[in-house]
Amino acid sequence: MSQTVVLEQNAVETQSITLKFDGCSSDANPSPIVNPENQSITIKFDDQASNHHTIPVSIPNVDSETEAAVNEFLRKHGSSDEESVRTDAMNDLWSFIERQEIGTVVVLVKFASDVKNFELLEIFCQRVADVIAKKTVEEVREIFNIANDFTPEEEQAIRDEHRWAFED
Amino acid sequence: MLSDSNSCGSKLLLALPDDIFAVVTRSLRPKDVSNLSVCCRNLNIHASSDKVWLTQCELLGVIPHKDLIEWRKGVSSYKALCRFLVYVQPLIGIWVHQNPELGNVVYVMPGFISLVGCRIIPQELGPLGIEEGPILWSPVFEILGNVDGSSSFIFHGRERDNNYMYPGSIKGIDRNCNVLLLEVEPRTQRNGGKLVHSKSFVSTPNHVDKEFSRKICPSDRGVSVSQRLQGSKPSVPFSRLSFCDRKKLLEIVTRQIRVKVPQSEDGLCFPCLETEDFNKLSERRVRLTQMYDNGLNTDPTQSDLGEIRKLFDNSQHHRYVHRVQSSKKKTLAGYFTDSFKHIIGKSSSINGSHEHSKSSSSSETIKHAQFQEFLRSGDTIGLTLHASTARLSSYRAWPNMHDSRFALYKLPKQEPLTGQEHAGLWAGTFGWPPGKPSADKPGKALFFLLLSYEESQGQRHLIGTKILEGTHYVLHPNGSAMFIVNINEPSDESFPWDCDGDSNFHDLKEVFSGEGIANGYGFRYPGSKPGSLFVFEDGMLVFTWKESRAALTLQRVNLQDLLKKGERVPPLPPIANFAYLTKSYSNVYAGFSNALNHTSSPRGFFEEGVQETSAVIATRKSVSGIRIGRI
Repeated sequence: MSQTVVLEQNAVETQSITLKFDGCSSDANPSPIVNPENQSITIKFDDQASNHHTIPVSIPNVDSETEAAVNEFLRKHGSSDEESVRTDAMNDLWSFIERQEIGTVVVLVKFASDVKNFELLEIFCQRVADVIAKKTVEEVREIFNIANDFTPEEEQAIRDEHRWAFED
Repeated sequence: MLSDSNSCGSKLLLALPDDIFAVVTRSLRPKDVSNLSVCCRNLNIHASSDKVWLTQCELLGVIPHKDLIEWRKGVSSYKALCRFLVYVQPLIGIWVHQNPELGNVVYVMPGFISLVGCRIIPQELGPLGIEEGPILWSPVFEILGNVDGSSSFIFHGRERDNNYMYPGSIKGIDRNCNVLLLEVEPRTQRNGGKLVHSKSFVSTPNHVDKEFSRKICPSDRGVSVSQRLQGSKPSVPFSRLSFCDRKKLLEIVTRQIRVKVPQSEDGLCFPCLETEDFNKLSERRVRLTQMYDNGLNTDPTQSDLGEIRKLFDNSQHHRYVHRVQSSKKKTLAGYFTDSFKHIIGKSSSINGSHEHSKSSSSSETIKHAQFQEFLRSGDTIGLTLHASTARLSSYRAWPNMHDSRFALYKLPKQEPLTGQEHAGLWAGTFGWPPGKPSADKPGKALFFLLLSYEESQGQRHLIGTKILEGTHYVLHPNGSAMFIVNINEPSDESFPWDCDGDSNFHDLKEVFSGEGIANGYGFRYPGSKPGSLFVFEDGMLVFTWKESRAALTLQRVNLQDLLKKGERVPPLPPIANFAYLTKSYSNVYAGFSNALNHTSSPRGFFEEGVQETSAVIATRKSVSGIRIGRI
């Protein structure tokens, strides 16, 4: 899977360039393709960028079982072009991640972002989102061990500000 | 559930870069993202970022990405934009009313940092065909998105050759709304000063007038409009009032709050329909917002005050009557003047028909009591839009409607999906071959049909429900099924014609048999006759009646695209511009020929000074109908 980042030139005088995101991180290594019509530059992350993770990687702040599961995914996913093999690899990793503590998953999100592996990023971000979805504020605080540093008045003000979103 | 891993995790969650945080929230709804904001200060900052809320706006799918970027320039944040879009999204779609029978179709779609309601009026096929039209439309209402994402309602209308806007509020929009109601709402004024109670209306006239000024149109300009006026929950809802009271209230309020759209601004482009120039649209929005605020700050004229005072005075009198009636029954006849006779029945027959007069007077008294109760709920009244959910039955994809509500009814969205490829909005004309009208050929009436699927008795049917008919005088009731065909069993019927007039051959894909509408027992109960639906490879549908060989040729249309190339015509007077409740079989929307400088149509049936009664059928001798001729 290749990712695309589009750079657009937004001021001819200053030659400044704005980076637009497509859910990807900002660093870019591959060569850019310039579109002369609109001055946009397209940078494609080709499959090589993610395929170099077929060698086992070391993941900081996680246990060995987790590291092994991620590496197993990378091996299986990178080894074949067949849709069924890649889907199986994703399903296996997904089942494993669902059993892990959310703190571990967030660590993995950071890892995936750092190494720019977008398949891993999608899976781990989806898991974090699933944990947050449809929970109350108190439940989210408990799950992520977040201390409430609002005063009661401040909290009420934020709730009031978002009342439109809470109405179903 | 404290653990080292979690403790580390929460810190990392807060340390995630904005764009990665946006990937996480991409799978969340606005409610969940808002919950994150409430968790703690840091998460509030993260969860409030424009990146996160731009993603949320995109997920809503209301407007394309490029429009989101433009609209963002007029609001404080993507969060504010999301707030607006979430709130108004349920309104988007096709809204209809049974009357006039030719069709009342209002399409609600995105404007410019707004939603706009545009009426497609009954018309003939344009000179450039369906796609290029131009299709005729008139403005009905707008819902503006304010800087903070809140919404303002502006109703449009025309009175005595001037265009007006009528600023109002939005009572509420149910997520699954299917009825759109124009109502009057009592409001309480929050200006920090003394609230004026309606009891004060018995004081001296000058004092009353002053109080009226403060009551009806608050002069506190320091506070925002939405903060100043707050809708109050009346114990008697507007919908429970009698038709006459509701109509009267709407008439009084619209007369009082109207803001004339200056002549120079008549060329004001209705957002997204007549221009896509961002600067022009921004300018218009600023002017409209100013007019909206001014409208709610304008002091009423003396005659308006008089009218409103009469309204309140009557309610006072009736309350007095009601009180006296209940406490001093024996001495009724001695106290009431002629003007109250209609309440208690004839004074001479009090003894004899006391029971009868009591029951008829009691229902009237109840109505009056409800009216008073309604007015008592606030100290001012205003126009409001209310999108509610009602339990509606339908017949062949057409909702069964009240005929005395100032309401529009939403047609369920029909998407062309697998298994229902033909669902959606189609337009067409009668006759084969299909073609553009020319100078020597009279115009063809344009029909709009909503195609939907229904399952009954194990059979699957495709129904073509007529929602707009461009003839001069309606042929069949609004909402009739023009055809119903059986989708389960393809037919091998052959197409009656080889090619169209231009010798174009159309590749036939499949044929279905069924029935097409025909005359039946009078207007209200049409019959049906056998016919077939021919589906062509190029997407065209043709339904032919077997016996008469009449053919209805249809093509799929996108209303938003059609309207962007359309031509605006003036709206009707207010209230009628929302729901036209006088029964009519002809084109009530085409009476303003000044906007169509190439037409020689006679004036419409909605003329100044014509008494409107709910039983009037517009069948004047001059019914050759309204011809919107085109050159």
